[in-house]
Amino acid sequence: MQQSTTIKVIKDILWALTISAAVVGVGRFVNGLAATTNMTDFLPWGLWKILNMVAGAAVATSGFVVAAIVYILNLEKFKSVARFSILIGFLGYGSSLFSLLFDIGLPHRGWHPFFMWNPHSFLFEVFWCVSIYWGVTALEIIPIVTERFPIPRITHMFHKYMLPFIVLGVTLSTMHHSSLGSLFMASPTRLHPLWFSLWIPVEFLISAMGSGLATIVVLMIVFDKLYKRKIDVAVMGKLAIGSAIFLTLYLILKSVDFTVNNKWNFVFGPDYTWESVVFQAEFMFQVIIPVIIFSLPFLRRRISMLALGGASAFLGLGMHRINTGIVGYFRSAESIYIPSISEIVLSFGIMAGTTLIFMFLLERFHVFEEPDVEHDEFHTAKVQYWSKEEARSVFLGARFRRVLIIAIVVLPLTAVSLRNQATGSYKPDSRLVERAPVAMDTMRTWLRIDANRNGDMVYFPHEYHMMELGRRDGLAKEDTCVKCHHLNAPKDHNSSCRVCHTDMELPNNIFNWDNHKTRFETDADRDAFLAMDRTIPKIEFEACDKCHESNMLGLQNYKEKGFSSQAHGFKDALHGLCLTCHRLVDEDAANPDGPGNCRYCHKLNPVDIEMTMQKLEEKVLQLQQAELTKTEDPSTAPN
Amino acid sequence: MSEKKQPVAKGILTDVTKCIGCERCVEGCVRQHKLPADPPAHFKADDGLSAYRYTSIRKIKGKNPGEWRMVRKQCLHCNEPSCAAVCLVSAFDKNSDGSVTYNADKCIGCRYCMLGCPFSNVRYQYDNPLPYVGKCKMNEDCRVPGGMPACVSACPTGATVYGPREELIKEARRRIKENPDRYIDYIYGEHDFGGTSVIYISDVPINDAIDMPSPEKLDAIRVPQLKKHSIPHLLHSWVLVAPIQFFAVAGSLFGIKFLQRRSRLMQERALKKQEKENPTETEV
Repeated sequence: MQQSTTIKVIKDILWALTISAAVVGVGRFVNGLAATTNMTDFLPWGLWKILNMVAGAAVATSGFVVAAIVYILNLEKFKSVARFSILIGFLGYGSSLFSLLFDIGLPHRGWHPFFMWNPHSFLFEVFWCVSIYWGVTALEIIPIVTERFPIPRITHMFHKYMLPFIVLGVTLSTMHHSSLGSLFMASPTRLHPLWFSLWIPVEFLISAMGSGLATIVVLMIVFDKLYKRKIDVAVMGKLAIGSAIFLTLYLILKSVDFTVNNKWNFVFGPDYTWESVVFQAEFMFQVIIPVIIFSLPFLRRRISMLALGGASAFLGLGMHRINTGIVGYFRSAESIYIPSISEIVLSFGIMAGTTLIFMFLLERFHVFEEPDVEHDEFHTAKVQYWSKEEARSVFLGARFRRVLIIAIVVLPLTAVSLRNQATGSYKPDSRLVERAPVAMDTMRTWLRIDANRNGDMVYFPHEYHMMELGRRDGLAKEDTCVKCHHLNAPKDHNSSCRVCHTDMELPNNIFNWDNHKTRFETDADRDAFLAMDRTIPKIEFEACDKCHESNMLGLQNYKEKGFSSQAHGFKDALHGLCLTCHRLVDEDAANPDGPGNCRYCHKLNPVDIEMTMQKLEEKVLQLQQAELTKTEDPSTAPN
Repeated sequence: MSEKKQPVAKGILTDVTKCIGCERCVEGCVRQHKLPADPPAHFKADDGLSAYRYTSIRKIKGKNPGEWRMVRKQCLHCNEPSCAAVCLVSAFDKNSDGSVTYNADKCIGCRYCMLGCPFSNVRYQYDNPLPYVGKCKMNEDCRVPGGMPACVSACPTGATVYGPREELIKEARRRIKENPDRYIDYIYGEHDFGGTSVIYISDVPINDAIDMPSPEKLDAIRVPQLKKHSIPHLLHSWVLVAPIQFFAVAGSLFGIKFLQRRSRLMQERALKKQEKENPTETEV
């Protein structure tokens, strides 16, 4: 079969995408989800689930709508699109399930839902319906494949007993389309009210049916153009009308939902946010443009307009699903999710691979029109069987060599360009160069640093260092702390302390002058630094919270009673004074009444710490007095 | 007595005004469950919880300027948990002792529990090639000698206490009644989202700290039902739709087919009848 250059180039691009996706797919299993995806704890569903599964299933809706029209309602004139759309359904669902294998954490347990039931879960319903429906569509397309092999009996059998499978397929489709929407009903507080509704299932079903028909229109036009076939405008127009009817229903449903639940303020009114803009754009693409084009006869007659309307509905459907599954959660998560390159490559690579299979079936099997096998027992005249020559030309021909060349080019390119994600080794902190193990406290003014890399974290008042020590008159910002502390590599925000300080516990020798010398090639600073008065300016007791920053309840009451120590936070300093010795006696503080346990001192409400302090002082006084009486008492004094 | 056999639903009461933010509860939890180090990573949220940290302390502004309040964040162990309702392999269980526990042997890693939890307290081990969910347990695994969970046992000030949920609510009421100036007259988690086993009392609003939408917020986003009811309760009626839908759609499709066949038979029969009556007419 002679193919045009356009098809060849398109296929090359699709092969390149598919091969790079294979690399990412392997990398995801070796390195895990953190390396390859940008999903977070607050936004746990990413591109693979929402785009490939939820949006992909919606686009593949066409299968069941057309199957219902042709095989249930017996509308013969749509028979020309029946096989095309059922094939789209089969491949769409197949690729969705395939991409889920990469998305779920433990894909080797994919069979669990068949045996471990939770009928209350919407995902359980989706899983069962989608997997059974995929099997049913597989049965539906078996005749397409078998009729090109010399086994007419099997082909005929599948034709004969098709009806129950068609009915089952249509039923399961309506069920899982609505429950794909119900998935998002489980997060009523987290999903933005523009997309959340208790009617989501109905909205998903109707919008999928409307946009699914429009998708058939645009895909038929694209592939007809590609393979230079005549476009059946009459059938396309009929499908477009059906699409417009469903989309109008969706428009009405959404309006009623907004009116009943009083949500118009999110679209136009006082609660106008960026989500409103996104929603308006989505609604424009999904409903307004297609309905206008499809409902006006003079526009509907033109192929370019039909394609435009179909593409708009297709795009709008994808936007709606992505907004419902990802964008609508941004506000409650207070963060955003932008898919990583690995995610995008795998997501589109799976679609590309699906398209390749689709094009192969289009070229080699009778997809565009159904050979009349119903009335022809042995339809040898209508269909040509596969020959050995054809098989050889398909699988070992020039095409095969071309794909090999693409693979040789694409594989190393992908491996190099994704070395930080899918193809490199992943460490949790590998995204910055040579990063010190730093954790932040809740307000991010303090850093917990493990300077010695021995597992002991100490508090480091970073903000204080920036504010007080990092500011010197007459010095540029680059000449302060930053000169020594943040200098390793371009992306290094916090070089390891160990670069300069060999031992944090030795105050006289904390600075690694050898490193300094090698870095700056001079030792002149050393003498100047040692000659400098490095003592901390004397701090009066009233101002202890100047160094020991307040991180304790009601600190202002205890300003006068502070203790002086340079490096620790107020709380750590206070505790360090007592607890260091207490813990020597009672190391793991397992005994609730032992001296190492907090309760030993903090018996009272923290608001009454003053009383605790008073009690401690009284105790100290008592001890001192006991000491005094001991020395004064002549009877016990040794002679 | 039969009361003794059935474990009482227990819970944790956290009094925010008593917390000094020493993070001993976090330390106790880490020691009890032997949790690994929690390195910085891009997938973690900034509230301190992660798959390897089941509880954390969040710092919020107090009543007066310069004052701070510490709020302990953990799984709230809902009475009707969303995570258990949405998990497709029922890996989450609401136990009779009040805890909501995770069964790692069933989990397939779909992360629907994370989407379903209204408080985002379920976290995931994204950095692990074979990842599991990490979440507060509050069951037998947590108990230290003395019968209390490690976090509660470690608290030096009694800010967080463990006990039967009913008694904790009574205790919370008593504290609010005795010090009406000190506390807000609201028990966080008593009725919100169908009630939670972990409840809070505070002197400043802590909705943001524990990610629990306030009643005003619930009104604003048009789901006021959640002030009293849980999310599974909200979705309860939709679960029944699936089987009804199955039989309705399949039935109507077969019905259409049946009617079509019937009408075709009737037509053929009428044609035959016509043929018998006047055979000449059909030939025309």
